[in-house]
Amino acid sequence: MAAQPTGEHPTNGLDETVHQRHRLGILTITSEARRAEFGYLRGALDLTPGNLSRHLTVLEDAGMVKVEKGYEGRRPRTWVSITRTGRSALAAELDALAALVRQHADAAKRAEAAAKSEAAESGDGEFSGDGGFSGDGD
Amino acid sequence: MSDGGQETGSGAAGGGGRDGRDDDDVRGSDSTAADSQRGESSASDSPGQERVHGAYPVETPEQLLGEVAAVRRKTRLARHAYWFPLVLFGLLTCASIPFYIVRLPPSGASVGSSPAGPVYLRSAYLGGFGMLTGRYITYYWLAAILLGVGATTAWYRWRGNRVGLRTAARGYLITGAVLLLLALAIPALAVRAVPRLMILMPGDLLIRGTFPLVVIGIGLCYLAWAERSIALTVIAAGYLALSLVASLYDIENVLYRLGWNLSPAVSGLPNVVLPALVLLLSGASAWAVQRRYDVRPPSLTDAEAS
Repeated sequence: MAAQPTGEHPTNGLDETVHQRHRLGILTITSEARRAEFGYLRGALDLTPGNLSRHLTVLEDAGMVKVEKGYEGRRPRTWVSITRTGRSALAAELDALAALVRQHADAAKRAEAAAKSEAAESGDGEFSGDGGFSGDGD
Repeated sequence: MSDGGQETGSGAAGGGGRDGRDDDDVRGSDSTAADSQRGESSASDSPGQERVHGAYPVETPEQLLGEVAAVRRKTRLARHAYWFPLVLFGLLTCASIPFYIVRLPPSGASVGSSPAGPVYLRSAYLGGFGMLTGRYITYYWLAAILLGVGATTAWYRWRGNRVGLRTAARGYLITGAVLLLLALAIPALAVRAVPRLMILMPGDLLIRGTFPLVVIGIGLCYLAWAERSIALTVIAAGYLALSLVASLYDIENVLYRLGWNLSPAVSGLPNVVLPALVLLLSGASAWAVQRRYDVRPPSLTDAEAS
């Protein structure tokens, strides 16, 4: 097996609060706007209100988003904005994921190279074996 | 998750947690033991509802990064609304055309009489330096830029409420206010107190009276940053370059070489009309694209959101 690169493994950079795909989606959307409305998040991520609410609670408890409630006329509105902590956590998560992708790609390349060299070695063996076989035939 | 968590969830986001399905969805879709690490029990789960890791499709880092990129792209498309300021400033520029029609003074009178009003309203940055432009052009551009910046900020706020995504438009308002303040203060200070500031007012750049277009271009560059739009960045950079050309060069010269011989009274108009056309055409194209994404999010009922 190829030697692991020195340094910390990228999975150590994954934050379980952020790594969940819907919470990653919430952080991504809120990082793209000053504030995102509850209804937009619900539609964009295809979540039920309760489900989205639970994910927001997890993120709010971790200090990654700020939830503000208000009214627009008689219509209640809930706005979600990302905090500095949330931005840092999102950036760290994306960095860790990118590092994992790079590591997978490197590992795949190494495995491919190893397979090729193994095939070449076994090919040499077959050649000499064939020679031996033809010799027996004679 | 515990019931306690459920109460917190309803309080924080106002969404729900009213039905067991939602709770199960969140529990089940959590990728790992993030919640269990917080000491949240699964006591409310019935045995049949228990979900182990692996019951949901595990996504690779490539897939997650792809989803993030797709969500980011979709969010930006939904948030983009820059067609309005492009069209608005294009129309405001068109409305300024009468001020750029040269009215030659009667023979014997001096050319370039001082514009009316107090010195701080004769800003060279707002067209006041133009020798042959209308006397009240600084008033027009002051009002037009104030109107444009205010209406653009209100537009982004209205559309943010409609779509559910707010753009950081307050920074645009501040940028516009600062630019106008500088445009008024620098010439006044240069005349009254700090003559050295005249270095900031090169005649070559201000003499045609089209520097307000550069001010609009700087504002559009800020909007491009706030919108995180490559298309608007290209438009704003192109427009800013064109407005600088319009301030430094008589575009009429090019038209003359092409065979268009304009009368002296309207010879300055190409410097205004061309940037206005760029704004109007860009705005119309952006509108054609952006109206497809101008969709209200599904609204919650009062009961759901309370």
